[in-house]
Amino acid sequence: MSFDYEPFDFLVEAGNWAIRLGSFLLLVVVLACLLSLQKHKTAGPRLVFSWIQRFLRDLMQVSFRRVGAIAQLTFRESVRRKALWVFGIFALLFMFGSWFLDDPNNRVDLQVKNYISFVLTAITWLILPVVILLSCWGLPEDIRNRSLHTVVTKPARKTEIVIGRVVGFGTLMTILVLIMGVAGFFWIDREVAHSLNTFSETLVEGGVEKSVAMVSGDDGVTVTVTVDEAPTVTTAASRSALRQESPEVYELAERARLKALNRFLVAKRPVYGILSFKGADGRPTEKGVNTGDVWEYRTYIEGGNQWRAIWDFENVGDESGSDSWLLESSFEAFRTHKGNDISKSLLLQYSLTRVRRRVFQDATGRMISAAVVRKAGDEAFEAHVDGQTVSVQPVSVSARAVEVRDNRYVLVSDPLVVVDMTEELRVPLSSFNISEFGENVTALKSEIDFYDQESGESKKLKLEDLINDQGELRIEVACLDSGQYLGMARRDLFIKLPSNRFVVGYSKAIFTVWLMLVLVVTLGVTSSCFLKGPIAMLLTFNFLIVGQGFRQFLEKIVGGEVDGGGPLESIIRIVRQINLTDDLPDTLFYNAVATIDEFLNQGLFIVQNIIPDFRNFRVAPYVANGFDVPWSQALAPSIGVTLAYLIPCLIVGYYSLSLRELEHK
Amino acid sequence: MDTNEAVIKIRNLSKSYRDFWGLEKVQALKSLSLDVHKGEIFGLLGPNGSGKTTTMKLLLGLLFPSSGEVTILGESANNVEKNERIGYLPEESYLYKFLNAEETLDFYGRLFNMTKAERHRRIDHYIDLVGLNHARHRQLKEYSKGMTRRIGLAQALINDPDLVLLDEPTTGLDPLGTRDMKDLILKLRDEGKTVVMCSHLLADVQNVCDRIAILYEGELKELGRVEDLLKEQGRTQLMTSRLDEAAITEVRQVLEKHGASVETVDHPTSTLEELFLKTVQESRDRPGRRFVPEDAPADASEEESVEDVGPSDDSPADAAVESQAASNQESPDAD
Repeated sequence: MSFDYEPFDFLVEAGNWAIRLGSFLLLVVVLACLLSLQKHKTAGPRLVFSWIQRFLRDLMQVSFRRVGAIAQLTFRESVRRKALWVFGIFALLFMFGSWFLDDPNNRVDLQVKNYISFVLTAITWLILPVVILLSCWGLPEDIRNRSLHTVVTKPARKTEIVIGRVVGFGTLMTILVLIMGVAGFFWIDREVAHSLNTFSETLVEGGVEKSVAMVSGDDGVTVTVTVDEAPTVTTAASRSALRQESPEVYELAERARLKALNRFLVAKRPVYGILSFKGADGRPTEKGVNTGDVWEYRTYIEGGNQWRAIWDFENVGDESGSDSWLLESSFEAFRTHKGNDISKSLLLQYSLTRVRRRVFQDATGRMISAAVVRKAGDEAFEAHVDGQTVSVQPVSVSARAVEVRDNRYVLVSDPLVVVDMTEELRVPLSSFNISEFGENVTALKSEIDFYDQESGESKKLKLEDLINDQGELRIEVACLDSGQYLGMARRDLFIKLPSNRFVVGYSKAIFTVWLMLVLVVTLGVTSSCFLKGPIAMLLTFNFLIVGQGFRQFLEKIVGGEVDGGGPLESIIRIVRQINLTDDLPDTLFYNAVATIDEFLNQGLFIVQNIIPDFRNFRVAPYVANGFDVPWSQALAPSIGVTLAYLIPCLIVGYYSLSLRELEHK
Repeated sequence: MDTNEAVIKIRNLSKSYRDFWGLEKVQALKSLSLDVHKGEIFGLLGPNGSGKTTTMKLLLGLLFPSSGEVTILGESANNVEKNERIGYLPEESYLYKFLNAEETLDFYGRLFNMTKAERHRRIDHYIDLVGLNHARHRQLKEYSKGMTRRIGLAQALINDPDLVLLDEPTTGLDPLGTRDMKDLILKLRDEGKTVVMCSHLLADVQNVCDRIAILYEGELKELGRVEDLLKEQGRTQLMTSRLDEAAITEVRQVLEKHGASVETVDHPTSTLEELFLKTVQESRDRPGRRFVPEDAPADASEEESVEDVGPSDDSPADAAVESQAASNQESPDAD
């Protein structure tokens, strides 16, 4: 399926990266020319360009044989420095890890989440220190021991040394990730299977539906097989005893266990829509009701009135051939009255809607707001603009191009242009009670039976008829319990594509961990080209910490979203004990402070662009929560970030090694 | 073999080391100019801190000159391609200690453009040449200093270079190893290669170098052919077979008749190196032979198997090559 929200356009991102890299390089070249002018007079710029020429020539003449030799040397060095001892710690963690990971509520889904998070975190944080240490210390040690002298006095280019080092450490890290990844997978599988002491599954065998429930504990195993509402109970002292005493029941229970296992170890493929709301008056609103939660991740719709949460799914025409779709949701309830209702789950209803979104254009292509358009014939429209009546043509727009402002649908590109939003067809589905702490799965069949309130008849409709010309489907959610509220966030409702096997999602997560470690190795080797081991290590570690934990904060500072102003202003506020929300006096001094802060913010902007966004590699929550790792939102950005840093790092590494005297200490 | 084609051209080469603030700390080399010709063995001499290693590192691009120019094999010192034809043995063998001899040569061999078969052939050849066959699978961290120098030499030669730069090549070697090293250097010259070596062991330089440059405090003090620099034009030395006192007196009279004065009459001495080599060679040829001082008590258990060699009247000079002995008489620190 092609409809992903916020798709990562690799080409666009590559273009942005090229522009940034180009600007950065231009800046570096200009600075280098100015510095060399000062040092070498008129010969300076020529020297700079000869360095550039040499780098390009070096890059073109990179020998894979030499890179391979340096990579193999690096690998051997790491192995003989006992880097593989990390496996010992890994094995130790896996031997005793499960002791500390038991969920107190004995919920298998949370247990699974713990296991997966533990494995992915253990792999990442066990290998990270090893690769940071090795990659940051390798070259400085070579320079200190002068063993690099015997390499650079051979026809090994500086680019080959940098690439060889990255490849060597990368190979070691790849082996570590692969072995730990495979071991981790089997460990999760084993531990989850072990946790499944109690389950209930329905099996269909030879057309007969069998409900198999197993309860096992210290006092033995009980298997209840129910066929045609007639239960048969089998008990045994243990599973192995059950296997010997009742092999048929045991096999049936194992098949049911496997099915239950696959339900927990899964890689769901969700398709998310664009969320908007309709208020109590039926008019569009940007958000739902805030029930007092500071965290505005979810906003709420009120039950029993016209409040609706609306999801617009794009490009769904591609899937019209499917027999049925699954809608999965997990909403949060907020009750204004409890009493006997506390144990009763809330009633919810989906409505499928076909909508038409359109704006109008005059003959010059100018967008005309739908608010001023009136019909002038069957297919003709006119608008009164600037004191003149002009003929206009309707143009369809997608859900992505539209947003809600001031209770109206307007264009994202021009909020003054009101979009005509017409519901062409509405199909309310049967209401159901939601499970608040679990998943609610609803099947949407390709042919839908529904009750038409206008005609008072039951009708049939094909699902594809509900998809508009833009390939979009709208799903509205209503809470039917008056006075109760349901919390909604964009990811709370999604179309569930056929799930992938757990191993697919897990492999993608391991691949992303690998990508992150490649980036760390590259940064480590690059910084070790111009810094000594400990400092290179500190720098790389800082890149990692800032890129992962403080990136958002940095973005806020640069974007001016943080109260208290820039660095200088905040210092002054601290010293003079001025409240963050107080305006500063409009004096020359404070204006100067603001100007300097603007300048410093530009520096922070550069830092923000230099530090890689390690948040892109945070994919463990996807897998731990039973989702596949999506290409557009996680995998493509991770690949993009890693690739984006390889070339600049190579350039920095090359120049650092070329411009420094290796003998000079 | 020596031609006038310059393999290395150094013009007004200076090198200053600077501190953190960019201020000049020490000037290691002051306006050095010299040429090294194809096929010669060129020695850079000087006491510690005279600038010979700095010169070599400037040639290899490990240091950047403060001023002046260096051309090596017709190319700039910073050009990587020139390294295809250069072999370098650093002052101490800065090798990767976690590799064994075979892996070391394989690694350095892979940095050159040679086939796998050729590489393996050379690995075997050079390990054999430097006498490390018995230790080819031992990691270098287990090697003695002499063994490390040997494998260092092998890595310098793995590409069959046209120009070999040797920084203190005999440091850490025993007299046998030193002799082998010197023989090898001479062999390299015979094969048409150019060798530049720097050393403060003057006997090594004198034995093998065609030309030398003497540096002191970064300045070039002497440059020329070894025999030209060492020859004392104002004095004459005669070397004859053994003469009795009468014959010596007669020779003195003849020399005085020609206006020359005889300064010393003595038996020529060999070098300690030659004595050592002769002793080791004899020990190999005649195992069990050993020196027993005259006053030492007899060892009954070895009485029949050991051939005693008492102090001998024979001068070691008998075995030495006379012409070489003559030239080595004044060698101050032969191994």
